[in-house]
Amino acid sequence: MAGYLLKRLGGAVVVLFLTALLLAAAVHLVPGDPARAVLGAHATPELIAQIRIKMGLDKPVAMQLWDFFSGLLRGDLGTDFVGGVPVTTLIGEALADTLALALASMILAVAGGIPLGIAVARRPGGVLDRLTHALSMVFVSAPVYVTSLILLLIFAVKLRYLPAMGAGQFSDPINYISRLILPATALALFWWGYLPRILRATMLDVLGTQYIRSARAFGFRENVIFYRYALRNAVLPIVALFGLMVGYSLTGTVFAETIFGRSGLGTLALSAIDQRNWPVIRGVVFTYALFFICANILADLSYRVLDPRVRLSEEFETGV
Amino acid sequence: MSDKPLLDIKGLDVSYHLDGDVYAALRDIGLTVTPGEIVGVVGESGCGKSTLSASLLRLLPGNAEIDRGEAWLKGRDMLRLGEEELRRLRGRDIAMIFQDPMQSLNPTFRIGSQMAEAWRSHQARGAKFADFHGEAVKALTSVGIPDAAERMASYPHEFSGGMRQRISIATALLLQPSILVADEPTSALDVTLEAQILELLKQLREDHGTAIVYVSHDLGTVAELCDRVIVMYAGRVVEENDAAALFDNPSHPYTRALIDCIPSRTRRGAALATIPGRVPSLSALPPGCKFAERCTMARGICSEEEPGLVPQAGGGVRCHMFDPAKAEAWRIGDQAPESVAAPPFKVSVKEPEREALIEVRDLRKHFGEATGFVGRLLSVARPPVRAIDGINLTIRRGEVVGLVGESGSGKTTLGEVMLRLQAATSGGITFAGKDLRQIPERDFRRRVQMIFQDPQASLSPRQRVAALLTEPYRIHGIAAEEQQSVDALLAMVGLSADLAAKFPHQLSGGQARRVGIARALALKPDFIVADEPTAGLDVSAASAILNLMRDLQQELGLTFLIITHNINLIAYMAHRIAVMYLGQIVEIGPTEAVFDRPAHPYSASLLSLTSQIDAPERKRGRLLVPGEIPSPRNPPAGCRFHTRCVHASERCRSEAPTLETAGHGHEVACHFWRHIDQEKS
Ligand code: SF4
Ligand code: SF4
Repeated sequence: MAGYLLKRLGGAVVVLFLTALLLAAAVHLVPGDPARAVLGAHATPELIAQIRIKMGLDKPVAMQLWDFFSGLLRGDLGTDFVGGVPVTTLIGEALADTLALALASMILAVAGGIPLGIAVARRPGGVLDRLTHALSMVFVSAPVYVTSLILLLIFAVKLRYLPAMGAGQFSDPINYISRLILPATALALFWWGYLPRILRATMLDVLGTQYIRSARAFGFRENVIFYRYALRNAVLPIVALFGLMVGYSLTGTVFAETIFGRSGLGTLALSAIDQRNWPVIRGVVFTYALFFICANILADLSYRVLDPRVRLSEEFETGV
Repeated sequence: MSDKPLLDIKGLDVSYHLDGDVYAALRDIGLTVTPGEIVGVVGESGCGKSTLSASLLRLLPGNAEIDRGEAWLKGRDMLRLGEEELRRLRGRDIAMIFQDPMQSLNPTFRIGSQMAEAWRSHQARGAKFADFHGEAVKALTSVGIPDAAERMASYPHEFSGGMRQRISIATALLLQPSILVADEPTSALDVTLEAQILELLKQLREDHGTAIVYVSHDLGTVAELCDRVIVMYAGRVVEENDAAALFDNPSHPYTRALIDCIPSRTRRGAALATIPGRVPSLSALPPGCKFAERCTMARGICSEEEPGLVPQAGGGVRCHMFDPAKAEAWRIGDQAPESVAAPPFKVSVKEPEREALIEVRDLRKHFGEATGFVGRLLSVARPPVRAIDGINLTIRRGEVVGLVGESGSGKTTLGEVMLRLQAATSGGITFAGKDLRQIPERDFRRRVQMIFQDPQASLSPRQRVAALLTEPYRIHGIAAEEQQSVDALLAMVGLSADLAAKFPHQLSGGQARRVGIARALALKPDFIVADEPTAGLDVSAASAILNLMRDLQQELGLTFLIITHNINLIAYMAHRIAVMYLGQIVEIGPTEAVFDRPAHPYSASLLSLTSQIDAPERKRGRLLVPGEIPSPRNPPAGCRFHTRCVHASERCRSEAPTLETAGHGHEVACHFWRHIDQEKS
């Protein structure tokens, strides 16, 4: 296990390093003078020169890279050169709202998707099964911006059940949560379509295995067989989906934040791109990458911890 | 033993429904089991053995339907019980263990927890959960799981296949059912473990009076274990009799044919019987006797009218031709082996035998050998797997050498290294007098072939048989005039020409195996390695393959290395036998000599454990090998067999024996072979 963890962490560091390299270089890869892009076509040469110094573009490229990396290691992502605020501060503020949204959507996804999957697997071919089968197609194929808009129109604009815009303040939790419900649901819909189908399939697979037959032959209670024996093994592969889920939620938040007018990483990134605000763009993308990689490692590890079989085969892997 | 039956099945009919077709899986089954009795159920695949065993617990899949019948267990008809009542019977009154011990335990639960669940499921019986732990340890210990108390916290994958089967049996033991249904419980195990499990089943009957229904395609183990046997064919019981009577004097033509199909030492030199054709499809059964198409005794009436069960001394026979008054005279005429006029195979010159074709010197194959600096650093903690560890072997042209040993002995690896499918770690191979390294890979590939264990998997599923057969020609760019036609290749292995247009999945197991052989022969190789050539086949298909291999060997002077755990097969057709243990040959010699006077304790055990159906051999003493084969990562010091050898002494633990001569061409690696009396031990 320790060997595996080391391997994965090593891999993660390499990926993060490459991401950082790409981000640092991106400024030069985009055509045109980055300073002019920030200031617009009518800037005076003095102003441009000033900005170039501010952006560090006057130094040799290797030096720029070094600055970026050494800053990164110190936890310094530079300064936003529009507002002059440290990028870490900006990200810190935005991150809370984004994480709240991503987390809320994932909780909703699991809390809705898993029980639905269980109910469907209980009676394959039943009414619920056929109903969810049809609905899941819709849920899985509808993009977040479509579901967001539809939810917004129905529940906020038409019915006025829930607030439409903004993220609210933590200091007013009720209000904050009420503003989370719609965007989080928009993000969870996909999983309500996806998880029950997956769980149904793995569940039926497991129920057809020899060890379930064996358990029946020893007279195990049907409830024990279904909820203890089969469910556990059927949910295992779904744990591995967790990384995917984090990725989906994070990308989805960009749309949801824009449509619901929420502050967050997504809106921060969009406005930064608009302003060619390079330090902020780098910082946000790097944060996304960090979360994505961590989530995948976490998913993998928990899968390993939960499934004793993987622990074994793992031993072979590192042994050779 | 013959008191009132515990289980009494009457007139049971079961059908499967699949895509609108109805498959008559079981028809008019009658079966009784009395307390403490062991009843064997035999037949080829597709004859309904597994459906029958599942029906005994009413554990049938969703698309099966019980059309008719009664199944009385302890005064209650199981077929009329509700789900909950049925659940209470399962495990406690009638339990079942299955073929694949690797899959019958839930991989994500500790075995203790699984046993506890079984216990809890039947708490109504009045047992207190507080007693569970003690009882479970007792049960596990009695089936031979060492350190049972600690091992209960282990997961199934931490046990070997044999151990898992023991755990299944221990779970049954915990619930003390009066009947245990064992569905092919040893088919996935090596002979040594098979023997241990069979011993365990006998023990179960001795100690607890448990009746056992033993379902198997292996007539040998049935002959050894069972009191009474029923033979199934196409969903019917075609014969029932006391085991001894049934095997000594089979009454039904099918039973006799099954028995005559089995290779054994006594049948050496003769063609084995085969049963042409296949079990009829259960969705389109012929009207008369279901066996008529394949029966050498069939008369007009056979295909018109289904025979009833004619009573005989120990049971009954379902055959029109059987006359109980003339039971003794009942003999079935010698069956000619499947005769297919094979076109003469173009052999260049038949080389004189005695010339060495392939020679292996001090061959080693280690997996996970540390390479590089870091590798060597890490390898301190993890030694390599020594799959082959110093093998010397010479195979002469035209010779058939049988290689036996348990799984983990390295026998398959040896075959693959000899064919250069894997690189050797060290040692030399000489082929036809030349060092293998001097022979271009391409030339070598033309002259050697492998017949794979799993033919379906080794044939590309998207190609038709014709393309598969000519593929070797394309690969090696053989000129058209030197190629054999697809028809000729098919005929050579006894297949009809119309199979050429089929895909591999449309073939039966036996046919696929033949296509594999035809493919291997297309290039007229000198040397063939056959890895478990009959594994997974029904006896009738297996015997046909063996006949084929034997014929081809004699006609073409082929040289074979047959890798198998089936010692009867070796006894039937190999000139020499080599016994492998943990990467080394422990005994090698002419088949006759080794079978008559096995010198190594391990070979002696393997030979004694091989189930025999022939009467004089059946009741022979068995030399059980205790324990399981150790990991080839850490082979024991000294004699590698010492951890399991009953003759082991101090010297064996420190000094490794080398091969020494024990007779003409007979070599053995054991310090004490001269002093060990194999019969008595
Ligand atoms: S009834 Fe006829 S076909 Fe059937 S087994 Fe007897 S002799 Fe053969
Ligand atoms: S050398 Fe010793 S341990 Fe090895 S087989 Fe002979 S008697 Fe047994």
